Amino acid sequence: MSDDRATPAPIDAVPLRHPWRWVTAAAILVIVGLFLWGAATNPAYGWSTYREYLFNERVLKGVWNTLQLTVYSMVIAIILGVVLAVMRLSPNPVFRWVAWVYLWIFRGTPVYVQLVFWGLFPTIYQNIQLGVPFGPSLLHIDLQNLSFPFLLALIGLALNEAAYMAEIIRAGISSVPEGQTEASIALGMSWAMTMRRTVLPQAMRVIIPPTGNEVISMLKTTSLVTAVPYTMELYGITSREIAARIFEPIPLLLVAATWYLAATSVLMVGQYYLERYFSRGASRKLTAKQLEALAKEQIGEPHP
Amino acid sequence: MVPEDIKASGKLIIGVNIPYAPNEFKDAGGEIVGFDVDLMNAIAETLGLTPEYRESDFGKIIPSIQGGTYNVGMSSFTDTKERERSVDFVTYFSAGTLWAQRPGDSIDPDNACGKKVAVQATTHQETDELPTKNQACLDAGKPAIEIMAFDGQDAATNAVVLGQADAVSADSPVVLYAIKQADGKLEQIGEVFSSAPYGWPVAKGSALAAALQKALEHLIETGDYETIATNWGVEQGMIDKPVINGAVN
Repeated sequence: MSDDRATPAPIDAVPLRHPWRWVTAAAILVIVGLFLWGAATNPAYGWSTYREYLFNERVLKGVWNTLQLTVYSMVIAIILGVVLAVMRLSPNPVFRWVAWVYLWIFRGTPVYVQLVFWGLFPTIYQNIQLGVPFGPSLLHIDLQNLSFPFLLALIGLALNEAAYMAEIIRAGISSVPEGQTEASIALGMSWAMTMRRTVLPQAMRVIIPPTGNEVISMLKTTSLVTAVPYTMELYGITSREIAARIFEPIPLLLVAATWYLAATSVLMVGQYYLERYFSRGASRKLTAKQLEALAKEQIGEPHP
Repeated sequence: MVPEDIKASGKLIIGVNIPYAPNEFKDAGGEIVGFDVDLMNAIAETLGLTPEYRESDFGKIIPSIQGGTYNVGMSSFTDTKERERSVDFVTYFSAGTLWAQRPGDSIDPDNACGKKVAVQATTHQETDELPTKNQACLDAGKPAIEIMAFDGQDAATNAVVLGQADAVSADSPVVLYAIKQADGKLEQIGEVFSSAPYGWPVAKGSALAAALQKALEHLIETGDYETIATNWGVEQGMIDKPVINGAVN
């Protein structure tokens, strides 16, 4: 009897079957296949026009301008956002109020409306004079004689985005527990060093994912600059220039969508690595690399 | 004749809203071209000025002329009594409304009750023509016209080609151009109706109006006006005599 207990019959272990997974996967495949077949054979999509314009010189120029608008406006927005976040967290009430009013206005009105306003800026403020108030003028710029829609679009996008970035950065800084700052001070670190070595590296982990979100969102928001109007970005060129000339809006919209998707995909890869870098040490779980090193140590293999 | 400040700068700053093919749109190289553009280039040359085109939202052109940012507007503006209260117009063309349908259909522009009609948003056809016709349908106890307002003329025209709408209504030069682009998938319905003048808006009381008028009279005499209109296939709408503020309604 004791022998029986010592050697139990081996268990015939089989993996849990998932028949419904197979059924749903097959059904989805059939539906996707039907959709693709329908899209490929539907003349409304105008695939020949799509192919003709996908790598058109003007379209590529539009892609380039869209990327420039995205990068420049995000860089300005992040710098301005840091300033605003610090102002909102500062003990100085004037700074706090200025930052609050900025946020209230730029986050409280639609970006499209703001872009229309920036487009009308040279009409409202016909010239800029720099000098002593009520005194001599040192510099006079006649805005009406200049045409700078790209700059106006950039200012419009950046100032709007700065309001959002300020909140993201403030949330990141506030998320670092107070004890971290206290500990740093106890170690004799200065305020600047506490920020640089303790607070900001931990805040970045919270700041990066929503900032990546904002970059992707900005890429698509650039299509609104037609309100300025700046028409040399991707959507402006495909829709308001080429489609309006050849009267085929659908394939040109697909061309624009393809390029937006391509750019977004690249940005997503970048975000993944950035996030991984800044979340070092945030989780107790070991990475594959660390596990491998541990295992090797266990079996006595020398560390590489 | 040209106001001093414009003469001194040597530039004629023109506010234009694109796209409105064939009057103003961009070619494959991204240059602004069209009937309006060729005509304005000839006018500027006659006046000894260099034209400088500034892209604008349609609704912002008149405010920008009033504000002094643009000297003149050029965007297939219909000269209307309403707009004449804000700016002065120099007429240069006569455009009417024209409808188009898929070949073989029998849409009647005077009795489109219950039909779907595509238009470009904010055009005269969307704001005046179709609402009036729709009201007539409702008053007669017939089904309403379904007015489909699209952001661009290309989308409005495409809606008819693809069968989403039954007809498209727009300014005559635009519809004629669209029919040419659609390559047999669209046909004109009847003739052009309710013609009205196109005009160039300038600031109220500006001496530029008289200068533009004289320059156009000169181009009509030399035959350049006819050459330009024929090049763009819009000779049906040529006028004999430009006037200042020639609105018919």
